Amino acid sequence: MFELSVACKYLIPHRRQLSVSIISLVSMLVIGLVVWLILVFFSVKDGLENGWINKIVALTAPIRITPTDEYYKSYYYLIDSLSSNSSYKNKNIQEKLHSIATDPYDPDNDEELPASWPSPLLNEFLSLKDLVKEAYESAKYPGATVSDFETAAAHLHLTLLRKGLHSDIDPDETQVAQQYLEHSTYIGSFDDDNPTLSAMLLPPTIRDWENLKEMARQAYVTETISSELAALPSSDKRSILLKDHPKFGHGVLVPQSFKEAGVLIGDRGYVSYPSLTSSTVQEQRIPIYIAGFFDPGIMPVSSKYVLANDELISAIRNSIDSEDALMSNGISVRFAHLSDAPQIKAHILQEMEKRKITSYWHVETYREYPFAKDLIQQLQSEKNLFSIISLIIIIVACSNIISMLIILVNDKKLEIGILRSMGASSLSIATIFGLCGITMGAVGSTIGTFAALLTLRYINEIVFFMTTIQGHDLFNPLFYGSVLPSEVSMDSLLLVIAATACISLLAGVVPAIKASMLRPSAILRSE
Amino acid sequence: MGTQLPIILQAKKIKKAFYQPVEVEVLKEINLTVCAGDTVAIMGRSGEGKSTLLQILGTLDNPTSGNLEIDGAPVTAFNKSMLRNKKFGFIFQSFHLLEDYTAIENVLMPARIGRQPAQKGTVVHERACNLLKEVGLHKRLHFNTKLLSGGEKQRVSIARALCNDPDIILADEPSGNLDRQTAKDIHELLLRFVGQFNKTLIVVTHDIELAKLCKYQYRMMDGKLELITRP
Repeated sequence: MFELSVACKYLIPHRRQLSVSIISLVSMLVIGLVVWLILVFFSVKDGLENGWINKIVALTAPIRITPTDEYYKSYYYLIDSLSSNSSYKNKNIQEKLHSIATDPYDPDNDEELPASWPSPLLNEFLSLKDLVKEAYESAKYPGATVSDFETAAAHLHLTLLRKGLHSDIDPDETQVAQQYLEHSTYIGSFDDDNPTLSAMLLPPTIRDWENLKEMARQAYVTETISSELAALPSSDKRSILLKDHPKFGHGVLVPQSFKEAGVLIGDRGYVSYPSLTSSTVQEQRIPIYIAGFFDPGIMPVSSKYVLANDELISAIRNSIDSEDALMSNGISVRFAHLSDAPQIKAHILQEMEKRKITSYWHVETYREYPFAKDLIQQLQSEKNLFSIISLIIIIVACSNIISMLIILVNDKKLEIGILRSMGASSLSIATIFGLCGITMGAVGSTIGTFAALLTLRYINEIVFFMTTIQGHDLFNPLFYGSVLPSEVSMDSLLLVIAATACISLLAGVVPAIKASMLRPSAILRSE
Repeated sequence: MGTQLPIILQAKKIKKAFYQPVEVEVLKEINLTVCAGDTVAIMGRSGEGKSTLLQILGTLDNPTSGNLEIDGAPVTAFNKSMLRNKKFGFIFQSFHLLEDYTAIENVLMPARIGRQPAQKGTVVHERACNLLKEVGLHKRLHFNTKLLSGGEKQRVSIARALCNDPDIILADEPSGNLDRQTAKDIHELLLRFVGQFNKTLIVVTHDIELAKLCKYQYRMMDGKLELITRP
């Protein structure tokens, strides 16, 4: 194809056509710079966003099924409070799932059903439909795991005992300074089977180890729990740490912000919650100790989210026997790829429809969670906005190609005339200049892509270098994490390459048409 | 005009007028019939429209009115490029070589435009080498054309015109930029080639010596073509 070789010849810098060479070089560098900027920006942004979303999903689940008001007003839910078989206590979802009798009501022993109660929803065998088991069945999907979740609210009190805070006054460091920390928290259950959750755990520091030893020493514990903690990085079952220890109480995992506030692993305290009695409200306390920290990302309630074992949560929930406590009870559906969420949600809804239990359950994907919805929408709007801005920047960068090619056409008029006299069609001439435009776009975007890959590979070294020069953190590690994501965003790569190719082709069209419209006789006569 | 040979080019009532800055009718009803193998010289004063006529005959320019047939087929907007590539070879006064290319690349360009394989070892490449050898440039094959002398450039130009084995060679003052001796050499070479390869030559020239070498001599005057010498 002679057009390509002629186009390449035109683009190779020559001393004779210095201005064209400089402009084409600058145009390619500008395109490269823009591609580099967009790729690095979007890759880091996408990486951060995916990290944040993964953390939100890790603390909750990609899909949650929660009971609706209809569920709490249903015969199925209410009947436990009236049945002696259920000890006159409402059951949570886990208890409902594991209960043998769907309908615990015994008409002979239990008191009469109030007239205002709804009639029971019956299945095809005319027995009470088990809404929880049916919901579990609906949620079954290949590759997805279904489990229940429960969140309780409580006050967290921590006592921080620190040696050496007054070492200037007390060189022997015998005195121990005492600090207190109080925080109202949501306590969620730690699920060992959730790999993302385990990945969010932060490794203990030397200060944590020392504090842990100190905790053991003060409590005169010889068989310290440090041996269990030592297994932390490799242990598959991390929830072993969170079990109720006779000396220290329940282990809890607290968000990174606690660590920033000076809390160390091994610090002890208690969770307090109100407990209703027949005449008053009493404060109940359960001893806890800090068993570790996790990075919760940027979820709005993340700084209040504490992970604990199911026993602790059950203890709090049982003391507040009200619907409010149970409202934070539901079913989690976990699966590997977040992109499958809409499809799995549709499947669950379809299954529920078949079982006629849709009105009792509310199915949400992570994009619809009340606490995450705004954030995810904001991230999406930002992405759309930045995509438009990038497109405009690419257009501006590629517009250089138009001016360069118009100069090139003027420079190469005689050659166009000669080629036409040898039989080159106007389409061939247009193709030559169109190819010049595409080649410039392609070379520019290749330079930019390689520069971006190189930058992303060494992004953390670059950030470290910049941080060292500036003297303070370039990015807030609490918000952005300790290392920036360095994986190239394939979506952005495709967007940038496609946009550059299209726009450079369009930029080549005007000069190409101009070149093809030139009359060979006029050129050859004037020369 | 020879009647025994087939007509290769026929121009009927060709008119050409320029409208900028004022209307000037350069060609007034030109009729010309050229048979295969004829050599035709067109002479005339500068500005009489000789080059314009040659460009119209070579499909590089459009006549204001009139018809042109090449090898029996009318020239249309769709077959012009093909005709220029397959039927015509152009030789210009200013040589008009592609300066960023070597001599052999210049000679091969019409073949590449015609989508013929022109790599080393192909028939076309061999033909181009032979043509350059014939014009005496076998030692300059890979010389950049910028480095060649005027006479050498015109030799490359002649080899290029013959690359695609066209029927008609159109030469526009081929020796106009050369000294007398070189011009003579070029004339001889051109006429030898035309005879050797049995081509039709239409040459626009001021040079009477060159015109005398052609079978037919025409003069352009007042926009009309007048046959002044018959064989």
